[in-house]
Amino acid sequence: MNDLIWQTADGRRQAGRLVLLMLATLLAMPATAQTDTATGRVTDAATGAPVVGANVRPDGAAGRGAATDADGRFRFPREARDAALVVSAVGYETARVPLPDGLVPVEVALQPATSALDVVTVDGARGVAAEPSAPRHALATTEDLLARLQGVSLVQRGAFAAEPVVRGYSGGQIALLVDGMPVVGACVDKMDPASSYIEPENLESVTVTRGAADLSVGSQVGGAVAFATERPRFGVPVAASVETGVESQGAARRARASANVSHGAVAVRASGSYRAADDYAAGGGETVATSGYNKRNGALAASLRLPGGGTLMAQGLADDAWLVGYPSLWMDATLASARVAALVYTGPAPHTDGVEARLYRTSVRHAMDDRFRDVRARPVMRGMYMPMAGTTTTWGARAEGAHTHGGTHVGLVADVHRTAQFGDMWMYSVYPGIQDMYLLNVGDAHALNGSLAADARRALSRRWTAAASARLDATTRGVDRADMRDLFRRRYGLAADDDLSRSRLVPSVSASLTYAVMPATRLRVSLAEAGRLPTLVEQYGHYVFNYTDGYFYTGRPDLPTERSAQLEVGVAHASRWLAVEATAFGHLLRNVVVGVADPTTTAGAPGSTYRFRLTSAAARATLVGGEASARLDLGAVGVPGLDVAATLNVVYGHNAELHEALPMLPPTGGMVAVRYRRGAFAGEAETRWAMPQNHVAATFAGELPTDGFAVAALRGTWRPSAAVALSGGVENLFDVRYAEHLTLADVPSRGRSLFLTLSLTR
Amino acid sequence: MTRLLLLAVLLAGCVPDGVTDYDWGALQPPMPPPPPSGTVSVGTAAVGGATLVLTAERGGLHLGYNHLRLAREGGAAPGVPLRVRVRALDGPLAGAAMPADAVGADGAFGAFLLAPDTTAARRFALDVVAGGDTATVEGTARKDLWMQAADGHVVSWVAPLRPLVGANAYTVAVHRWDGAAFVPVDGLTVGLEPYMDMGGGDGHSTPFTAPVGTGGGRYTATVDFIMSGGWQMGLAFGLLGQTPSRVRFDGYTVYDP
Repeated sequence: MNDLIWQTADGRRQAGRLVLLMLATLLAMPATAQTDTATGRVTDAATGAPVVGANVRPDGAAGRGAATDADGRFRFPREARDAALVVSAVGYETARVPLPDGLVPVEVALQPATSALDVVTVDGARGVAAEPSAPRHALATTEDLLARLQGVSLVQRGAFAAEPVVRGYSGGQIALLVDGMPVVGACVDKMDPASSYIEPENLESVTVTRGAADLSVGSQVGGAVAFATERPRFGVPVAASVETGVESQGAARRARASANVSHGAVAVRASGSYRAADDYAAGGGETVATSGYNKRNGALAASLRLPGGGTLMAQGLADDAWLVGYPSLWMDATLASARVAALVYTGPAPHTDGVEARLYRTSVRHAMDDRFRDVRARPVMRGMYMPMAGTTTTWGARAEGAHTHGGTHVGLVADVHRTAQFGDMWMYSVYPGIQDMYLLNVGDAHALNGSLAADARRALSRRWTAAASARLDATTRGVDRADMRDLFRRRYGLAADDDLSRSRLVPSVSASLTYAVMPATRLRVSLAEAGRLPTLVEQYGHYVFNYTDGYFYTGRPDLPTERSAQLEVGVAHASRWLAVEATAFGHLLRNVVVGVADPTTTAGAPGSTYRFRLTSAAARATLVGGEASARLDLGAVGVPGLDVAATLNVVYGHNAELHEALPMLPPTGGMVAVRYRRGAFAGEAETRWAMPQNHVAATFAGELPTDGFAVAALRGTWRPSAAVALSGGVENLFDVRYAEHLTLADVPSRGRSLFLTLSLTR
Repeated sequence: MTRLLLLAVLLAGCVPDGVTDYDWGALQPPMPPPPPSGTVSVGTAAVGGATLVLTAERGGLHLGYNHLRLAREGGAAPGVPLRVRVRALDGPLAGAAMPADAVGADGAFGAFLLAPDTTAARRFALDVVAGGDTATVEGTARKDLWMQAADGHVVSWVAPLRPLVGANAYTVAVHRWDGAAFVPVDGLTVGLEPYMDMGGGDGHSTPFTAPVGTGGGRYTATVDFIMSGGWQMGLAFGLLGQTPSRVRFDGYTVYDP
């Protein structure tokens, strides 16, 4: 406990000094006046018609930009560092175009989208979602998108609810947000990440933050995946889209629809989808049992324009998945159900450039069991049915705003929310003489979290831009059930009057400096020192099974704060024909959450077959790596409609205390795609590959090496009219049998699969 | 477009019934009968002008340590000072009674009903004495898990009466049959082996402290049961340096609080 206080207090002191130093330095620097204005026009590449309401903003600047008017034109103040524009609009593929020097208007022709995802986000310190690795084909699932984003990997358990991993960070190390709201998974085994509750038809954008530099995204040390859902649009009397698709693997089928209606000051958007699949087959044809699923999603949002220029929106989302097979686990999800509701104000506020404030409630209910498994045949926990259930409920309020003064842009994000969590498990033996058993995994734990994040950005000259941000997370949490409090008191020798409530402050800071070598080429260096709040399971979980290493974990109320000191350097180049981004990073982690042996639970039981650990912290670990992506537009060099995209991801992690690899690191890998667009046809050939992963946590986590692989895909889309799109193709063209390294139990991925999608829009 | 929207709605699946409300019992063999539990009336004794009802926990009299209570009909405390003397009815070699605990003001007391061999139930008589008045209640102590024997010793499960998930003050008593009577055995080294047999060769233990002797043949530890269900409690006991004797309490239930 003393260590914890020392670390927290010391971290606070250090962070405070850093923040003051950075802000003072930033404000003391001379600002560069906004000397130019960016102007231009956005049109439909197919028809030449103006695109109304397109979002145009400088690449790497989320807080600036403009929307196009009725004639498709835009205009906004330009800063010296602005080298490229990101242009996005509903129904079109996001484009990034170079911003020429001077006052030359920019002409942007947007290609009609072949993907159900309308907008993706590009930011300087953030991952590239639109270029070049983002898929252009119609997305079957949200994971379909995530799997192709720079720096993002997925922990697969089958065909459903893959868990995002950013540069090897996962779980509580990264933030998963829906419209800025935490949707806390209810499965104590982490089978229901927030991403599993979002469907493409209600997804407006995904922002991937690699590394901790962007502190506004939440309590994290490794980055964030932030989903923004679609909102009702004004000025569109009636708009609707319907999509249906089938895949040969598992006879996967889906149908989805969305509609937007607006009249005067009111706009309403509704969407819904259903998708399902039977068991898929791996490459070579072997059927992977218990890999099917069923899922439905519905969303409804209504917006009211207020007289003062703001908008009030009420939104709700309901997502249910049932009978979801997890072939890599010993059980399946019988129900995964999420509800999200929010009341949102967006608009002007005194002394700001605008604010968004929301009240929200999210809840998740998750149930798993093994009714469809041969429980007598599995290697451990033989002969037992083990239904387990969990719930989380979160209430919160969030506000964010920005203000530009004297050339300095300042943004603030404040959030406070209370999360309650419960999880338990029954065990029913099929052997005679064994009584039913019951295990409480999370005994009504709760956390009240509050955070304040501030960032400042200032152009120091035409070439230099500096940014700094700071974040403070505060939490107070505990356990409601007296018996669980007693249990943890005894386990850790705590005082009898210790009510197990814990509070802590977690400061984080970051700074970055960008240098424009040329208008189209920027160099960036960023530093971050970030900490994150532990999850409730890490602190108060009771014999929670970890599928990664096969141990049962008991939480630690006084778990030290996990922190990461990070250095990143990057280069970005965007010209008319070539876009390149490359980043290298080095992270030093402290208090890395691990487990240590729990001998008290096995001593005296010679026949014990279970393995137990106590959640603990390793003093030090390192994580190094990098990402690179490039897109070559051959249309600019004489081959119209053709471009080539490639990505590369490398991560290497080492636990200095345990003297072996950090567990579950994605292998070196990437993709290469050749894309062609001509008239109403768009097509692509893509190969995705991964090297063997031999750098594994063999001792600590029992992790096994995996082989490398390469799989290919062909996809095409034909748009005979603006309202109709027909997509088809084949994934895993050569029917390769392979397993992703992050797939638990080496369950093979899907074999060759033909797909066909029909989309109608109005 | 409207038709297509309607089609999409029709395609939307619904969560079927029974997804989270499933009959697991249908997949299991018949459950073993639970160990006898609850408060059971053993008999009545008319002493001191009052009729007293003798009750026993754990479903009635059993070999080992018995949690007993004398109360007026209706459950009220006896109201008069009482003593209870326990006698073995089947002969000293078949069974013997330890001196009973003093009867508390609320009528509660404990009694060891022991037998040197544990192959069968035994009959006992409890003489309830109030002043000069005596009444007798006879009963049969069944043989079940609460007393185990090994190497000339018997080990009785004294507490907890109803094990719960969480910390339990666990007490056993060790007696040795000297040919004529049971003698409490102190000075032993006692080890615990709590174990949950989950079937199919799987099982695990739970945190506990080492037992310490508290006198009168009793040894106490704290056992922290991590989950409810059926447990086993193995004991190894003996003098330091000697090969320990082993007994096991098998089939008791740990309940949720």
